[in-house]
Amino acid sequence: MLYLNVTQEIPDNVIWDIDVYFDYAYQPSWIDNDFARRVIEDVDKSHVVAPRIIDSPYLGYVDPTHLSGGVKCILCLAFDPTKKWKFNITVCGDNCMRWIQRLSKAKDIHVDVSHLPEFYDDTYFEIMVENINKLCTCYDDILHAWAEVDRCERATYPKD
Amino acid sequence: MNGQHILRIKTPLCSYKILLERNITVLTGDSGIGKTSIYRAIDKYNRTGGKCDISVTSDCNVVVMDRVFDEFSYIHNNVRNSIFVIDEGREWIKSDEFARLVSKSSNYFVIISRDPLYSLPYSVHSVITLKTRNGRDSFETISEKLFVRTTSGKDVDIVITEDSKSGRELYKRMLSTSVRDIKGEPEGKSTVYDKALDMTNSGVSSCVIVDGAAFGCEIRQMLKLVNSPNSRVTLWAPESFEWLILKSGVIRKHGVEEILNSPADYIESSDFMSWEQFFTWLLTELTKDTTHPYSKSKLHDWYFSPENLEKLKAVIPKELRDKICGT
Repeated sequence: MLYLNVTQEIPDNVIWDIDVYFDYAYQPSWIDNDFARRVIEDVDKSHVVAPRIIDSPYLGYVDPTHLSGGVKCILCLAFDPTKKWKFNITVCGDNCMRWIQRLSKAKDIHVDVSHLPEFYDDTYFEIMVENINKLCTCYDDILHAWAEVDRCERATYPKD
Repeated sequence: MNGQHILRIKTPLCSYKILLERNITVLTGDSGIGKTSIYRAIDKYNRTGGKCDISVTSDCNVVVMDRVFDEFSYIHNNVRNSIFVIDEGREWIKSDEFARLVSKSSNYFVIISRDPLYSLPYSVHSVITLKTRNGRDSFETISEKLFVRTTSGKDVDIVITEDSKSGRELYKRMLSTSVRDIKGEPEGKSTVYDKALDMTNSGVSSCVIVDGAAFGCEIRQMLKLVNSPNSRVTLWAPESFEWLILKSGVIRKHGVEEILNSPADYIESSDFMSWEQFFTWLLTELTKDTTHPYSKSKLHDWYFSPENLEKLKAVIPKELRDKICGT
């Protein structure tokens, strides 16, 4: 299942700058597999030539540090073995959400999110909004949960 | 700095053309569309002094802001009248220090982010994304506004406005009895999403009126609601309530029309952080020695005359006006 923590805060254990993390952490094995190839084809319209060589129509032949932030984040969620860090999926565009949902079907994924992403309810949809402990099973549920979290956060603002 | 600026970047396989209309532009959208590539291309161009396979052209200086935010060196280096490009993943873009720096700056800022930046008053028209097409020799990528259409074909039962006091009072007088109520919430703009969602849940169709010049941080979220399949929400985002009064022509002063036709040419970024601030200042200045000085807290009866109300209604797009004014 996908566990969302909606927040504008950036705690010390959360990776927000995905470039810095991924560029030094990724292993060739993260790229050299069927799942990664499909994500890279779909999101970045690029082709994996070899574990360290990506053929991008816009950039030419580049190494994986030139992948988009969204792809880097998906690959970290899928393959990062350290489990030390939590990721903020603000670097993921709406075109990444289908892949994150697919990943969460196979294993529990806990992420922070600070923007409202568009999830797809024509596929597996079980998303727990941790702030309010609400299980969402369709996108309308997410829109409502978002408003509820916003209400809760505003209630904690200092009064003028 | 004022005016519109075009930023052109050319790499061996792709060319980019970004139109900047205001001091703050937020570049957003799907992953893999080239946002960070723009940042990297400018960075490479500047680091090599242009001795590379990339060209960056604009009518002003274009620089990137480093990963680490150093307010002191920014001020110390005294970079002025330039375009700063900031990549995503920089957590300091949400800080008060950064907002303070932007507020007095003669520079324009292009910020790559999907997050709402609550500390910056940016426009719904400043939130852009990128579209790429196959060109003759290479890919051509251009900027495109995220928010383009003001209204939809939906009916309107209720109008929700973020304006309180003067704004709310005027909207009440302008709108017809077929509109059930106006909910102007004193908490400000962060509640309109909430209210519109409540209305949708109750089966009520709503029209949300926001100050477009400062609603940029909420626009992505609001558009998700407006465009969701079960939505009953229509969105109208005039620049600001003060802009609406100026645009209506009720204040007849020489030069106003020219300013409204091309505000960017008249709004200096180091004087006004947002166009909303500028229009408030302009309206206040234009009316201060008249019988009807403008005030945000209470509007003079003069503004509510039948003739003036008709002029004000005429600013509302016809498709929406027919629904909320009953004309």
